[in-house]
Order: sequence, then structure tokens, then C-alpha cells
Amino acid sequence: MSADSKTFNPPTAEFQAICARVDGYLTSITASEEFIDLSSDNEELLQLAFVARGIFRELIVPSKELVDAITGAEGELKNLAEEFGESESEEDSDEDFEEEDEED
Amino acid sequence: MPTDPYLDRIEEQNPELYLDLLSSLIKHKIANKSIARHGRTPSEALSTILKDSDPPIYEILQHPNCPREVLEANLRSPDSFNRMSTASNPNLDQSQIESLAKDDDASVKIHLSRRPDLSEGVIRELFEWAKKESREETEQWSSIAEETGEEATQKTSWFYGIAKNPDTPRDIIEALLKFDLKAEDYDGSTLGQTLMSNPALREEDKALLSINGVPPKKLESQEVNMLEHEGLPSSKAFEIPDFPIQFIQALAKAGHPFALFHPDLPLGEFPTSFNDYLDYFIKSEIIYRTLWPELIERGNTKFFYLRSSHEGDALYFHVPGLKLEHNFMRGEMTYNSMSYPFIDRDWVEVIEEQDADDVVALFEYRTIDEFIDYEAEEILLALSISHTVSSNEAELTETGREFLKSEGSTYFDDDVEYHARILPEKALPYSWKRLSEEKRIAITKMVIEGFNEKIDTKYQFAEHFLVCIALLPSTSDAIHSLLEEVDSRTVREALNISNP
Repeated sequence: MSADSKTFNPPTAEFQAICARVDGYLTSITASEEFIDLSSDNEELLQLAFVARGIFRELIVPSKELVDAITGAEGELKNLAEEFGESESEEDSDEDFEEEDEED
Repeated sequence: MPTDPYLDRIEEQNPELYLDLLSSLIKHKIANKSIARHGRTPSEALSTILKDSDPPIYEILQHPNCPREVLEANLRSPDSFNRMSTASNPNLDQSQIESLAKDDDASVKIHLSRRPDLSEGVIRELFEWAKKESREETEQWSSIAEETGEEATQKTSWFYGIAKNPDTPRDIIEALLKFDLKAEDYDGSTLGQTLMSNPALREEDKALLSINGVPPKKLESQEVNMLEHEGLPSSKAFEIPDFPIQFIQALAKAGHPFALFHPDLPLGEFPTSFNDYLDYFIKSEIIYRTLWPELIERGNTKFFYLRSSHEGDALYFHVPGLKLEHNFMRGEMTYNSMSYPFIDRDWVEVIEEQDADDVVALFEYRTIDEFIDYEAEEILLALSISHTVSSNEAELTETGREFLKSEGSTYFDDDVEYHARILPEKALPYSWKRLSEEKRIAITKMVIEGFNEKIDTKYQFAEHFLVCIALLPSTSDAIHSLLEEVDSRTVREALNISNP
């Protein structure tokens, strides 16, 4: 059964924008070194983020429930991206600090 | 060398017919290896097989009727496996044996040392060589063991043939008794156990071995009957499409159990115990060719092919409403599937092209965690969207279907369940429909008897075949009545599906 055989409401521009943002969050999350370690704690959330990426890339047409779930999870995903990002930048700054020490 | 009992019977009664049957079999490549393993195949037949583009050369070289010139030519073959096989031929003369005793290859010498017709001079030569090899390898191993902290053991594999040989001179036996008697050969038996199996060993040596912890009993032979492993040549005759019926009739008369499944032969007398012949029925696939193809006439039977490096390959079917237990294990025969020996076959076509729905099913039971190590976002994306699609929260676009197919085929070339197409016309002459009712009843009764004997897993194979018989559209009411008496939940389920 293909998407064409059913009538779906195409995702609204507003929802497309949400998916685009979530796609960005997912990029920072997966780029983090913590990603592999922390992924199992956030499996469901990450799955939603990947689904949003699938919608953003026009691979799937979401149901209303899925639109609601992704819209509802956007804030949490943003926090997660910041968390991952922070831990990354903390590590970076530590390294920078050590390097500076060595130079001294 | 083992022989094919059905061919032996025909040869005994009608030598001319036997040769005609062999000549006819030789024309079919699938029979060549088993003919070369039949101990009474004449030299001329082996020469004919040798003309083939890819003859079973190792088998021919070991055969007692291998043409002399072929043996002579292979004494100096560049292929060490050819020389190894030549060293195992029972008809070498002493000069050929002496020539192989000087071979550079250790495996050739080891094979040669197992011969019962070695002269004392050759045994001594091989023993001196084995001692040198053992010393060198033991030294090498000791230095490795020192570095790795492992326990250094003596390496004695080269001695096993000599240890077993009844002609080995006394002083060599005494020397062997001083080696590490617990050192294991490749097959797991120890040097002590091998010595113990030498019929020429003195009673006092046996006592010494016993004191050293070697079991007093002679080891059971672990040698595999290669003829049975390959399948009897006479069984191959039943597998070849359109094999001349006069030969099939002769084999039936000689008591070949496959005659029961051949629709063009009368029932006659059959010496058939299901449990005795089960291995043959399974390996030759005659029973599957008879019972599986017409299941597709039910309309709702789907065949699958599992390809898995871990579990091995298997072919099986699914009928809605019927629970067939599957426990795939590499090297094990599983009763609800055809798993041994898995080769390309004409009557089954594996559809390797997967559609998006199949790929969704491949992802279904896996989690992000299982894929995270691939470090490829595409696989995680494919996993996520396929989970969402399978829980009906979304619909794939055409691009999505293509994406999923491409990711699925990249990541799942192993542990994949493909659809399989059964081609009944290629399974002929075997066909449940084509069998007489008399034969169908005889087969059903034979399998029921096998089931009721409850031997090992054999009764589960019997149960599977009874399920097939119950499901086949052309099974008569008389047979259904026989099946109703079988004490099996699965057979009852199959009957309920057939006669709702």
C-alpha cells in the first residue's frame, strides 16, 4: 500500500518547520560523543526525532497522532540537544584549558 | 570401502543391467561423487567420470578400482590433496608407497602412515620424520607458550598413523609410549588411545597405558560413512528427472525405499520403516518433493527461505492458523523446515528481491541499541520510520519505500527471511496428487507408525509430514480418518484447518 492509495493531509508548513528544527537537534545529538552511551536512556525520544527526520526528508507521511507526538516532544528534544551540546563543549573547554596549561 | 546395497543386489542378479544402470547414472553430474564412493564401481566407469570437466578426483584416487595410470600420474601431482588421496588408495605397490614416503607435504606422509601395508623400512622412515617434526613443533610451541603464559604441550599429531599400525616394530612402539600419551590428535583422540587401538599392542603395554589414565576400551570409530553422507548412487537415480524407468523399476525390485514415493511404480512390497529411512528421505528431499509443492494449491500457504550465517539456511512454510515450531540451529536438522543439506534446487526459487513491507518486518524486533554501533544514521532512520510504519502511525511515501529497501538490503544480507516460490512441475515425478490412493494410504500409515514409536526427534519429523498430509487438498477422507487417530495437537490443528 503506498501513500498515494490513501488520502493524507499533507503536513502543514508549521509542522514542517518543527521537523526541520528537530532534524537540527538530532544532528547535534548524534554528533556528540555521548550519543552512543546515552541513546538507550532516550530511545523513545530519539526514535521520534528520527521519525521527524523521515518526515522532513519526505520519506513518510505522518498520522495526526505522530504530528502531535513530535510537536509535543520538540521542547524535550531541544533540551536533549543542549545537554549533549553542553557536555561536548565542557569537554572541549577542559581540553583547551589543559592545552593552555601545557603551553604555560 | 562401503558399497551401495541396492546396486550390489542388482549386480548380483544381473551384472549387465548393473553396468547399464551405472552408465546411465554417470551421465548425470549429481551422481558422480556418490558413484566414485561406491566401493564396487568398476575402473572403466571411474575413467568415464574422470573425463568430466570437474570430476570428484579425491574420491576416484582413493577408490580401489582407480585406474593404475591415474594413480601413477598423481604420485607427483602439484596438488597435495591429490597426493594425499593417492596415499590412501589401497592398491599402491611398494615403489609407489616409497615414493610417497619421500613427499615434502606432512599431510601426505600422515595419510601414508595409516596404511596397513607399509614395509618396516617405510615405517622407520616415517617415524624418523615424525620425530623430527614433533621435536621442531614442540620447541616452537614451547617458546610461544612461554611468552603467552600457556602450558606447553608436546605435539604428536604425526605419530597417530604409526601408533595405530599393527606392523609398527616393537622398538618404535616402546619409543611412542615415552611420548606425551595425553596429547590430542585433530580428532580429539589422544596418542595413548590411538596406541590402545593397535591390535598388536602387548598386554603389559595396555596395562601401562591404563595406569597412565588411558581408557582401556578401544575407541569407537568416528569415521563417517562417506557414501551415506553423499547419498547412495541408487538414491540419486530417484532424484534425477526422467531417469529411465527400467532402472527405477530394477531398484524398486532391489528394495529401494524411495520406490514407495514414485508414482509410476506399483506399491509392491516395501521394507519400509519410517524411522530407519528417515535420514534418506530427508537428505534426498524425496519426501519434501512429494508433500510440499501441492500445499501452494491451498492459496494461503507461504514459503520462506531463511539465510543466516549463524543459524544456517532453512526453507519452511507458513499456513495461517497453524503454529509450527521453529528452532533453527546450524548443523541441526529441524523438523518443520528443510535445512539439510541446503543447496540450489530446481523446484525451489528464492525471491531475493525484498519489498518495503518485508524490510519493515526485518526491522520489527530490533532496537536502536542494536544498531547504534553501525554508526550510520541511515540505519537508525530506517529503523525508526519502519517501526512507525509497522505500528500504523505513518505511511511510507514512494521515496520512503525506496529508501527503506536500499537500507534494508545494505544491512540485512544475513539473517534475512526471503519469500520462496515452489515449482511443482520441477519436483516431478514426485507428487502427492499423482500417487495412487493405495500408496498414499501406505505412506500415511508408515509415517503414523514412525510417529507412534516416539524416537528422539524423529517423531517430530513424522508429525511434520502428517501435518503436510492433513493440509494437502487432495488428501482423501479415508486418510483424514487415519490422521484423526493421531495423538498430536498440531496434526489436529491441521485437520481443523482443512475441514473447518
